[in-house]
Amino acid sequence: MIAEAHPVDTLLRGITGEPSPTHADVLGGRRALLRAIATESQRSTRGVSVPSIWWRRATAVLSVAALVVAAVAVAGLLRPQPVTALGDLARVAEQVEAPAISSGEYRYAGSTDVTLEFRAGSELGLDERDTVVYLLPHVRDRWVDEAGSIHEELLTLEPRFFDPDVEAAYYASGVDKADRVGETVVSDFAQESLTVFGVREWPTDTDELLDAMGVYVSSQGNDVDATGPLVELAADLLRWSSATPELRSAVIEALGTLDVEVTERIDVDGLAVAVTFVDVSGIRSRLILEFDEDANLVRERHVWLEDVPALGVPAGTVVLDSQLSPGRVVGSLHRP
Amino acid sequence: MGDLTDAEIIAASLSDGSEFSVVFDRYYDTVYKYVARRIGSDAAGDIASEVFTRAFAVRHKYDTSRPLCRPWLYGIASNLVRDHLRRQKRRSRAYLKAASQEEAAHDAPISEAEARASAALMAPLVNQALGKLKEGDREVLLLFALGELSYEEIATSMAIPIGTVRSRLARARRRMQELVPE
Repeated sequence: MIAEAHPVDTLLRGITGEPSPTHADVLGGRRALLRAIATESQRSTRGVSVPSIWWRRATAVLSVAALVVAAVAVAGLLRPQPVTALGDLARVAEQVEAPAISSGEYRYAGSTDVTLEFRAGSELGLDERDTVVYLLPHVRDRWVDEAGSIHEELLTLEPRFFDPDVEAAYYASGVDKADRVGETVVSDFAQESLTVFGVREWPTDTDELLDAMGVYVSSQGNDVDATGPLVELAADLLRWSSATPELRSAVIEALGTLDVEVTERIDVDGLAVAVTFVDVSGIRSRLILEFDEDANLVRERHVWLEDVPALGVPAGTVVLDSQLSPGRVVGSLHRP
Repeated sequence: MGDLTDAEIIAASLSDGSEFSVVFDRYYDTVYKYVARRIGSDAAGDIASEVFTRAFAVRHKYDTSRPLCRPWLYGIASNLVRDHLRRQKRRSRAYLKAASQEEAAHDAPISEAEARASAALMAPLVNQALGKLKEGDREVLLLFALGELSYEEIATSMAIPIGTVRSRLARARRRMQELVPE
């Protein structure tokens, strides 16, 4: 059908040649399509009366477009990209091995985070208030040795308050001492105590992983199809954990089957995954996970989307903002 | 299924998904070839595969007044290729993989092999030149030259008027000739 043989076309065709797929390519493509056909068939025969992983996948497809708009409006940091990009990220994750450490070396990772702290009003001498809240920032450095033991140094910074009365009461009552503000707390853990739910035992087949995640969130009192808790669990599996590349890949791929929006990060390479849900506090929230181009989880944010007058917290407050640096190998327990 | 148009097969696949495998059988090779020409053979299998799973997922949106679905598949392929290249910035200069073509040249007839070897030497320059084109111009040029689509098919694939296809193609070729001296 080539209408013209322009020199530029000829040059391009000459450079690229006549590639053709291998037998394995064709088989792989056919297998993927058959799997998609089977998935759709299974979903349609199960029906919607039984909440399931399949139903969640179906609703994910339908709601992505609308939720992407919401993501931009709420987060203000994201712009829409096709959901398929998570598949790319999962493939990257599969190929990125955690840096190997030998005797005398450590895998170092640092993080900063801000978390919303809850205290009884009575602790601050504010007996008329049931609960007070404030934001407490931390700087965390973590070293993992060859055996998997963890050395952690946690510096707590000055809190931020929503109410000057609470701020005054906080310092007057000495709660800053209890929070160890301005101190660096050094801790050592055996890895098992921080490993996420036996992370190495989670299945690496995406479907099996989704089922296992569903069972887990269900055991925590959540609806098995509740996307928010599933995304939170995904973050737990990826954050700090020593998950294998295969598991990391499966977790990211699992995220792609949930009812989440996937967007490209602004100004840097990588993707963001966001979900809007009612969190454990009963507050409509937005959880945003950001991945770098090597599929490392590098930032998590949890935003309350509604005013909480009882706590004096306005809509849009970021109640968790955690930024993690990808791991690197160091030769001593010193911050690189 | 042999006599049915692509549109009729896609329509049938709405009630029986397995019918869609006919679309795969008809077009996998050509889609693969286009994708491999754009990004090289290493990732072409995955992307070509994804073209069909994506197409299957959105087949209900297919305009069944268009009997042939090749432009539609190429449109999906182009989007996935663009995403892939964006993801893989470090490899974004691999629009055209000269190395693999050099290997292919060993098996080609002498005159053709010589032509390819000559072209392969120019690949870095061509890559740079492609990178300097406007995105829309580049897409039209690559769909025409590497995808071997007609003007009409490109217009369908990119949802732009056929006149725009012509003007973009002319502009892209002119710019390439400026940037890649003979």
